[in-house]
Amino acid sequence: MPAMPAIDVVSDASVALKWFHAEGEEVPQARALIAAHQARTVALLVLDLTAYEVGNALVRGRAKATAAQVATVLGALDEICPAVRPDADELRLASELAERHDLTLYDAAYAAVADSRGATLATLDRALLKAGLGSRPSELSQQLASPAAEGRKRRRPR
Amino acid sequence: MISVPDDLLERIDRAAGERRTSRSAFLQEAARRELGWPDPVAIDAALERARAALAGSGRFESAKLIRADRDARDARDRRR
Repeated sequence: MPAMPAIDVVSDASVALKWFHAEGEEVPQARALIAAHQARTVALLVLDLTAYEVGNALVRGRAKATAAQVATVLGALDEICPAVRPDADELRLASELAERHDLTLYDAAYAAVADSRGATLATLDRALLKAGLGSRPSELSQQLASPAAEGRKRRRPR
Repeated sequence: MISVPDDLLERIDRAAGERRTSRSAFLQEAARRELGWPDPVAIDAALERARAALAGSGRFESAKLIRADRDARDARDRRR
């Protein structure tokens, strides 16, 4: 049986979209999270919100993706990792984080779920990074490369 | 009734404490995760399908696209 995962990671939509579209910063690092998930050194989660964010960005944004393309991408997302729905306590924490860091509740929900589950939030979103609530995939890659990853699971500042 | 060695139980309790959760909740989550691990081959196939679907979708930076979508949604919410 494989060892228990060293790091639990919640990925937001800015990272998840890079699993499927190879453009812009940190594509290899974002995709390394998938490889680590396959190797079971990372337990990867997204939120239920992630599918809507990825889908909407593809349909309404510059990608101008068709319904069929979006359906294929969202089907793949569903197969890759579980999508969790924040519970009442996590939504309460999300509200507090949104207020404290001047974030939208959507942004804060990712940070709240990661925090409550002892996970690290992987994001490339400037607002979440600026608030100190998430880590870039490149930072996580460095953590994963270290044999002492188990003992260095980050607690995010609230 | 399940049997768990003392040393393993100690690790479980320590990890549950770090996550501010109960032993029971920790074990349920661990079992769910272990049983729910996706098949690496299925992940590769899903990635291949999705990447092929987006192959001709042009150039865009995912983080900017998602941020713009979040800001637009937030602006709509503020106007309500």
